[in-house]
Amino acid sequence: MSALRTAALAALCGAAACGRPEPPSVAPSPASSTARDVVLFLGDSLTAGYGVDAEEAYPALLEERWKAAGRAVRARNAGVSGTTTAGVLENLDWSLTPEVAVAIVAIGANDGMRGQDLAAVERNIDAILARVKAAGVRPVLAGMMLPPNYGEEYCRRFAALYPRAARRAGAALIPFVLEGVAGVKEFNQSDGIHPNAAGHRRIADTVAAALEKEGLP
Amino acid sequence: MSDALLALESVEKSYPAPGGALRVLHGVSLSVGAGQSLAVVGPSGSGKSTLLGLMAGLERPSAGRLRWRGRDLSPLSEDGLASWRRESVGFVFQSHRLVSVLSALENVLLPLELAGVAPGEARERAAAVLSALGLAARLDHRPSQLSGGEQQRVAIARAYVHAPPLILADEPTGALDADTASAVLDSLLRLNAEKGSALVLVTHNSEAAGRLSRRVTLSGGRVA
Amino acid sequence: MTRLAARLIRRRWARLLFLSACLAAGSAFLAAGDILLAALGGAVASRARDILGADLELSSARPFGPAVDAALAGLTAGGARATSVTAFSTMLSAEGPAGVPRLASVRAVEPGYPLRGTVDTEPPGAIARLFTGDACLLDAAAARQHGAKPGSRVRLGALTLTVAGVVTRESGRTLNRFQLAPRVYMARALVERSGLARFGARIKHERLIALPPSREPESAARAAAAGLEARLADPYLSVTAFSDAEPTTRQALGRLTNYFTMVSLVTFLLGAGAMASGLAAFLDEELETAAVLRCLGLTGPQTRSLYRTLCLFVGLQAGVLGALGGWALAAAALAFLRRGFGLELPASAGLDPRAAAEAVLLAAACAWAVSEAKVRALAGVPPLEVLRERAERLPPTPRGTAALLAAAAAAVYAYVLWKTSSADTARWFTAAVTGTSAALTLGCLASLRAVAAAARRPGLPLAVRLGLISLARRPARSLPFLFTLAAGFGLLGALDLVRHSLAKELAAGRAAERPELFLVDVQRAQLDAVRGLARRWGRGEPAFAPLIRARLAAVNGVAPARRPVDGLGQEGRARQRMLLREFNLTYADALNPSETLRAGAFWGPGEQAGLASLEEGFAKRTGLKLGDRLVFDVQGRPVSAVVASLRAVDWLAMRPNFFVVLPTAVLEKAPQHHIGSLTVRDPVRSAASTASEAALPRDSARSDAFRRALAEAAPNVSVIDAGEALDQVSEVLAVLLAALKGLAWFCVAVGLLVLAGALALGSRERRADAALLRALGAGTRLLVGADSTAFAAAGLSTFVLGAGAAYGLGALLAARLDVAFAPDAPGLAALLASALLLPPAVGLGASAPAYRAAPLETLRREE
Repeated sequence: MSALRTAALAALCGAAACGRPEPPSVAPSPASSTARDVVLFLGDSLTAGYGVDAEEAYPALLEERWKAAGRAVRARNAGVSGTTTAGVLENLDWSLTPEVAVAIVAIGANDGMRGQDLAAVERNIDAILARVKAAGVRPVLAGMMLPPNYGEEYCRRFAALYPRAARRAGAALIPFVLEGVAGVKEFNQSDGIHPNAAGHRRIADTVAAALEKEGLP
Repeated sequence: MSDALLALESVEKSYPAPGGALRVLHGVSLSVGAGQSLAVVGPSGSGKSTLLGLMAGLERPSAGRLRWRGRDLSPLSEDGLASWRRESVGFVFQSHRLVSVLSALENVLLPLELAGVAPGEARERAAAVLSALGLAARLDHRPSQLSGGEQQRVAIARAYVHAPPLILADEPTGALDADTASAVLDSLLRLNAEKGSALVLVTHNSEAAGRLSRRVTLSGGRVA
Repeated sequence: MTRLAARLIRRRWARLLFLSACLAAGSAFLAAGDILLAALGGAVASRARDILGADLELSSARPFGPAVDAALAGLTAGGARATSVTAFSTMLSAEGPAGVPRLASVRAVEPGYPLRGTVDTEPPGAIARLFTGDACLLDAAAARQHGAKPGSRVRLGALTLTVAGVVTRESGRTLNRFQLAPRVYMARALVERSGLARFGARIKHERLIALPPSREPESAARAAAAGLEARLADPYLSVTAFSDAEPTTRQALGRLTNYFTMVSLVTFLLGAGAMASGLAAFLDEELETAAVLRCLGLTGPQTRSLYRTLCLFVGLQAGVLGALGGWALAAAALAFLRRGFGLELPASAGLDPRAAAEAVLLAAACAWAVSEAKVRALAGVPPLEVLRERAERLPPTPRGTAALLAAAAAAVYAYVLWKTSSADTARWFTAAVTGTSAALTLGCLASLRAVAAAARRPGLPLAVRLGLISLARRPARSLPFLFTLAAGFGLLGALDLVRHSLAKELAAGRAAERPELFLVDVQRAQLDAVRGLARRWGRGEPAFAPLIRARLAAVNGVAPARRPVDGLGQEGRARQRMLLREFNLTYADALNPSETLRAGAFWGPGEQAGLASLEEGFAKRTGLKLGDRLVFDVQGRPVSAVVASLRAVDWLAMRPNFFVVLPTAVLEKAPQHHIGSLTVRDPVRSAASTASEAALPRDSARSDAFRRALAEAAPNVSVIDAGEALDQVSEVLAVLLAALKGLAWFCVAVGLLVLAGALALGSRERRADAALLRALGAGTRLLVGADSTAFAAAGLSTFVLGAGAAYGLGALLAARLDVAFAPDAPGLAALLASALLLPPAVGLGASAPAYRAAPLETLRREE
């Protein structure tokens, strides 16, 4: 851990040395040792809050609730609409900064909807969880499900890989993040697939409950 | 006949018309000698203007020929005729036919310029002729700014300026009132006497005809 | 009176016919343009309908309720046809343990599908088999993927279906509906048994509607769509009219229509101008006749009425000729287009009596308007003035001319307004025409001054001097002459330049060099491998760009918070939406070939500062400008950037392009994936191809090999194939291009006609002058020399003024049509060379009889 921090420090100093008087455009992580107080949300359009405002997506809602409860915890929304397990895996370095304490991984739906090879998906999820753990961050895996039109077999195999992966990594599992939201008219936008603000509130409930059970954050 | 300037031999002229060709001149023969003045008279429709036009080579006869100083003019092309006219003929139309965009002086300059006379000399000569006709004050006027008599006098000046041996005038006073006509005629005859050119004057005015040395009467396209 | 008029008309029929012809040409073009555009519009519409597969599409993520059924019942009662489609994605596999499930896009249809266009299959007619058993149709890609052919069996959900055929060509694909997956058709009745449409399934419900035939299908469809939207008022329901489904061809047709309108109007104006000058000259020559008639006892009003009748006759004749000519022209154009392309153009354009009547009335009104002032003057000049030859021509009537010009401007405005329904366009066009005319008039006056000055120079040969004088000293005749020439060539030049620009853009829209394959979700680690594969299998250099998702956290220190929508107008709401949504950022250190810098400065390689370059349309819509300080939230981490430049992007180039670009050093470490575009298919079958060639099978072997290699190297990368959709658009654009080219030729023909008209002005006088000079002894060389000088001077003036007008007006027109102005130097040079050479050629030709003939013959003839 300290090696990583030293490396980050060195990189920053290096950048500052060969750079210019202007402040770097990417805000560096605080150089001094800080408390790990960030809950990182990795995921796709569901996490990013496609079709709703940033404050209405469930990560921001959770941060509000934690603040209201007096917890000094921040949420970092690293959701990217349209991304897949491969995308999250590739770009973990950007997100796994020293302040991150917990990482909630809600990914794979896009892989499924594109009919990807499920073994590859599972491998990616394994790799993500491993990297998270290696960074000293507590992983939480959100189980996903596909809409039934993808066929019973494929849907079943897809849903089954999450509990397996969570078990292998020793990560906590949120059984199904869209419980009570998927397919319900009132909680979804007109495309029928992305939750609206009310849907996100419901998702926040689900996630908060699951995290509490694990004693998180 | 041998010293005739211009000789017509049995000249005929017909025009196409609805209902067959219209013959205007029937076998006209006459000649003009150097320095002679000839009046061509006759009732209207007798072919006087046509005759004059033929004499100037402005049209070709349907039959017969014209000789200039004995030389047959028929083989000449239009350009050849034009070249001949440039040196030998001055024509005064019935309606002045001045170039409307040129001033009086410029109109009179034309024949000289066509003959290739140097600009300075041409200008002098043109101005002189116009002055002789009493138009010294009108040199820069456009035809539309001149009275009928003045227009005609400019036309006369134009015919004489290059001192051609033959002047052909087609009823130059036809459109003028009696006094003006008389004045114009006077100018014409005086200038003619000065220059010594042969003059063929088409007129229906017998008094005018009387002032010329010879007279030819046309009737029905024939010499009476 | 009528007898007198009839006699005058008979005596001068040739002249009057020519005058009518000038206007008739313009009139014919107006009429033909209308017919042609309607036919083209109809054909493009029918093609667009094919692309959508219907006139209207209703779609929703939820099943339709009774309200929708009721609304549709209303339409079907009026003669419309409707069909339902259920669409969803699923995993399809060949039957048997070796079958690998792959993503497929299912369209579950009912008998009668498609309402518009076709689904062609191998074997033919297989679509009917969908409804007689458990059958399906696969598209070519699906068949290849699963190694299936007619008779094979595939598993789809709980169903096992027999493949009835393979789809070879189908409607119902649009550019907006890129399919990631190959298509499968099945009967809608089977969906329930498949078990795939249970609660929670992601299904798209569609109702497709074909409206009964109407004169204007586009507006009918839009009206029906609007009606449905208003009636159903369901935010979860989306209604699309075919006219909005395929923007490229619609946009192209819209631009073409505007261009056609302007061209026809310009042609009409040119014809009207030629006719006006011709009528003016004609009336001048009637001066003596009119004077004589007045002396014989005809009153002023009677004289007016006589000549008014004559002019009206010219107009009516022009209108009739124009209507007939327009109909013939349109028929010829349609035949040409139909033969060259596979568009469904109407067999013949019927001669619409209403349009014909319109043409006749318009022409008559025009003829009356341009001559009225002169007719009045003609009747008012004192006869004796004329007979005394003091009045050589009708006095110019400043008030009359001014009134006429004002009326002309108003008429132009009204006409454009009527045709384009846009006051803005009408205002602009009127201003452009008026401005150009004024500029040209001043230019012509300056030319005349220059010619007069040249005539005064000492030492000029006589022929040259006479020629220049004849031009300079007759301003009343020379000015309209020069103006008509300059305006004619200038306008034609402008139209040609714009046509060239428009054609270039249309061609770009259909370039087969445009990439048709798009790759998404290429991870950074995979980039080199994927790029290598793209280079190996594709043609030309593939284009890749990184894509980073972000949100805008702050603008100039203030977060773009959501404000209550009531306070905002539509633009404000749109702006808010744009600012609050997720952005796609990219990084680069140089502009790519489809970008142009518009404002500010773009950075160079190695730039470290936080800068941003915005696309200009995006900047306008969001209200962001140079110097704004932006903070982006890139997955929870802030990135600052100052807006340093604005860019224009050619979206038609189909490269990956972005609204917001940042320097490489700033974003290269951010989470990203790459998108790319490449061309695989054969570019030879491109710009020159016709419909029949376009039906050739595409280079699928290459495409397949590429996809297989890609799937192995980077299985997560998705490939979107836009090829077929592009093909269909391409065909339509090809037709429009051909129409444009034909148009160019017509304009040339009209231009020549107008030129001849202008040169006919005063040819009588020229011939009489020539005869007079010849009577004075001028040789042919002098006569030819004088006229050549005059015409050469006119030609030079036309060249200079015409070039200026062509370029200036062309740029204006192009800007108006929203087309990049691409001046075509060779075309313009050719046009202007003819401006320089044609006047002398035609003018000398017209005067030629006088050069050779005996003077009195000429004088007699011209009397």
